[in-house]
Amino acid sequence: MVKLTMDGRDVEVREGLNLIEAARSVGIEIPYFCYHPGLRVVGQCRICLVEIEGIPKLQAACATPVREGMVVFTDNDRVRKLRSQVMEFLLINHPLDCPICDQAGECDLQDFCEAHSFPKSRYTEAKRVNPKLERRKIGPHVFQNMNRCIHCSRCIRFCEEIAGTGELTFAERGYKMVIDTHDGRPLENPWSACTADICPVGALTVYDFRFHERSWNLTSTPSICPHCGNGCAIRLEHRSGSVKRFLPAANPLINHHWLCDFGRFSYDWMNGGDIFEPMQGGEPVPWTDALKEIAGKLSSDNRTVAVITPFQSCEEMALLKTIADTVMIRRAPGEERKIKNEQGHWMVSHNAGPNTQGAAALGISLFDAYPADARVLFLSENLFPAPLTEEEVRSIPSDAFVIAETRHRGPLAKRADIVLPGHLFHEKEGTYLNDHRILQHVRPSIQPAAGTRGLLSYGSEILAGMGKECPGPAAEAIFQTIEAFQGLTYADLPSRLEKIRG
Amino acid sequence: MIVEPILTRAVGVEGGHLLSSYLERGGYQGLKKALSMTPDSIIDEVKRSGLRGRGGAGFPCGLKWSFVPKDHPKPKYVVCNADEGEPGTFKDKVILECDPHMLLEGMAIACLSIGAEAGYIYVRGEFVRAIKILEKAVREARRDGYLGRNVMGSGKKIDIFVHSGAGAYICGEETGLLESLAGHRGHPRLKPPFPAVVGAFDSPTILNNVETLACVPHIITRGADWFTSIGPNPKNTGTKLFAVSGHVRKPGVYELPMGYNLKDLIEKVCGGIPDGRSIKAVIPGGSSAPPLKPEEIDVSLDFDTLAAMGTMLGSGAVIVVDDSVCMVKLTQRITRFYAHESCGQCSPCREGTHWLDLIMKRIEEGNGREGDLELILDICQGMMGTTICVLSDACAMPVKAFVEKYRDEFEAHISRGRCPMRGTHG
Repeated sequence: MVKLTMDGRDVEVREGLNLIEAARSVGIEIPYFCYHPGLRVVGQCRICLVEIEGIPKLQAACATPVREGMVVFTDNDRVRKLRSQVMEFLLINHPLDCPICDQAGECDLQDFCEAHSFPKSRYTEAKRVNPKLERRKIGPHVFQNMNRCIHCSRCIRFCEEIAGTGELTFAERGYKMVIDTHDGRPLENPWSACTADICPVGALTVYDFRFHERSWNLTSTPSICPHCGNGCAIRLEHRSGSVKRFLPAANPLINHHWLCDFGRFSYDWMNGGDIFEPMQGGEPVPWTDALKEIAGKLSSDNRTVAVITPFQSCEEMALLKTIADTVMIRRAPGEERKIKNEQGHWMVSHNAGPNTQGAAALGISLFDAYPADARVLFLSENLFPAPLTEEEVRSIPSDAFVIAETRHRGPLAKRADIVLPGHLFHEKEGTYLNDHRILQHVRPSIQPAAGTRGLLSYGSEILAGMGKECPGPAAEAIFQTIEAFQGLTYADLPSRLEKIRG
Repeated sequence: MIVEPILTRAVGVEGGHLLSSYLERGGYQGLKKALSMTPDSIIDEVKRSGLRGRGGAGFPCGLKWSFVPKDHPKPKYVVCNADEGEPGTFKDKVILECDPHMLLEGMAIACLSIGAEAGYIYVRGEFVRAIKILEKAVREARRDGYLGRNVMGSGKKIDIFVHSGAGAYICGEETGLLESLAGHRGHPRLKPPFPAVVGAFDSPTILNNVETLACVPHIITRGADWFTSIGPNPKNTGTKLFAVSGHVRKPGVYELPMGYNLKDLIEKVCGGIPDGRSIKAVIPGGSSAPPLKPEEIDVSLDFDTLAAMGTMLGSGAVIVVDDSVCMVKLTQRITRFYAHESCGQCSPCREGTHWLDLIMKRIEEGNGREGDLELILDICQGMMGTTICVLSDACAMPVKAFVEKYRDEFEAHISRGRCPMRGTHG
């Protein structure tokens, strides 16, 4: 720890921090645009200049590490005057088109301007425009408006340092300087939309999200991306029960501040589904009737087999194990997905779901074929990327009683004797063990669709109907029965960082 | 008080840039002597000579060399800044074209002082003739064993490479130069770390101006005491090349002792102002130096005196401006240059230089408004000391000084809506 004085306060901060992070850790905000905790420090925007006793010139806080005994002023008259001047410089050529800018509401420039109410600009000359670069798609997912750019170079550094592809560069010089792609080649690395996330203004925006929602209308909840076995931290943003976008959140162990385009743009299935009440023989039935029927089937001596997907949480798997005689997990091979963690190491996953390792930890075997003596089948297809195909459904033994957990009126729902509309990934609470054996606790992001019930809830009712003891339906109570996670509670997983020994 | 030529010995000598001619003048004796000295004693000698960087900042040369870490795992480099781009400066070109071996010898001695095996000369791209001459000099020196694997039979390896820039002013800034040398955009780096520790190719590096390195062979050959004896001021030793341009009868490059009087330089050495006109302003150190008014020019041309007067010796580029010149137009030429040459990475410089240029242009065109001058001064305030490199200061300092010192002329421009000197200047 290092002791220093900030704005007259004696504070103690971690060694090696720069002044921006040090100030943040003690609740002092130093504004910045070009600095990003995941990228190389360049000190270009000059808004973070602070006064340090004994140094005549103001110093860039992002590029100054803390020193013992340092006396720092982050908000005296000199610093404030300089900040207002740098803001003025940044704004003279900024179009101030916030009303039609997608970044409005989550724009660093706008926020800082609002927070410090800068006086009217003294700039009366013509604003700089870049006719060729003001409305163009520079890659499959990223849209550029150069007029709004404040030349922070975060996007360039992201492509160089994180993606390692270096598509973006500065072109021209001085006031004519622009961000361009090398030789006009597109920005199409697998993480390209991160450049729009880290853009402090609306110069780079996500094409797919353009003009869809205003950021302040969205509700943002922490979650993980379920689209591969990495389980990157995300903010799941939604409105009126509909998922609108994924944004990366910080998790130093897995994704640092990044998210791949595949994971980010694959959420459409969360907004799909057309079954919202249980069905028996194609006709809607009340939950109680359907569950009574199932409990009756399971109480008899029929062998019950559950075939689930890696989208099921550890708790659901554990509960199913107490209900069914055999639980198997459907294979969900995925393409290779990579993300860089804080150490700069690639986290690689080849699985399509978030909980393949969880199934392994619970001793759930892989599904190959339906056992010949299975009389009752519980099949779940609330999964990504696709529901069961016609052919897969044909392989179900014709004499088996099929209970399907699905929201999709497809081949499986047609074949099933009873259909239960369960909860989707983002509607339920549970823990997921990622491919690197990091256990993460996820809370529901949105209110589940009316008429649907989660597996933990209806599974507990089935168990009760069978006259068996049930630890649920609370997810945590079930979690504590899992042998592999013995001794852990949800409180141990607050930052979703618990690493389970493999 | 005009001394014998030291840096300009070869000027006017037929074939003076050739190795044979350099050897006749006693060339490479400094290198020979340095080969028998320890690295520390070379640095000590340069330190004692009081040699200060001739590129503009006037930083003590020997001290800079001593900052290079001795036990660093990376190779070390010596880089010569020959990207002479400051408007008004044309003195390094004389050395490069007339006496290139003097520079090579200075660089070789610098290499010995820190144990570097390679040196780079970063030459301004427009200096086509100088580049050809330098490359020939390097070939000659390699051929005759003054450079290469076995320098003067000592077994030491020193090689020097000539690298051509592409014409950007910012690549004359030391860290911008190092970025450009490594093949990147010429964006100056944040300091610290300084080039002595993280320089060329992220290795410890000595980076000096052409004229600074050209002094080194003479210091080693004739001793630090001889060098300190030149000039009246013990803190500003040796001779200095002055590139005099503008309204003087005999413009050109003159080698004079440090501390020479500016008025004498203009009136005695350069023959005074032609056409019976009088001086209006003198820029003593290149376009980024604030100007001196006629009553201020009786000063000693050295780093400290000029700094105390709020201007600077800079590269020694003296620009003499007579009373036929409109100061508004002159200032606008300066802002135009810096707006064009700003690298664009720091907000105050990228936006400020251009903004200043737009306002200056407006005033020059007769569309100035009340309050413009206060705005200019405030913009300058925001540009000084707030950026990674000093290009921003280099623009703001002269603009501020011109506006303050010649304010009546700017005000006349604004109030009359035209240049009051219209018709008297071209």
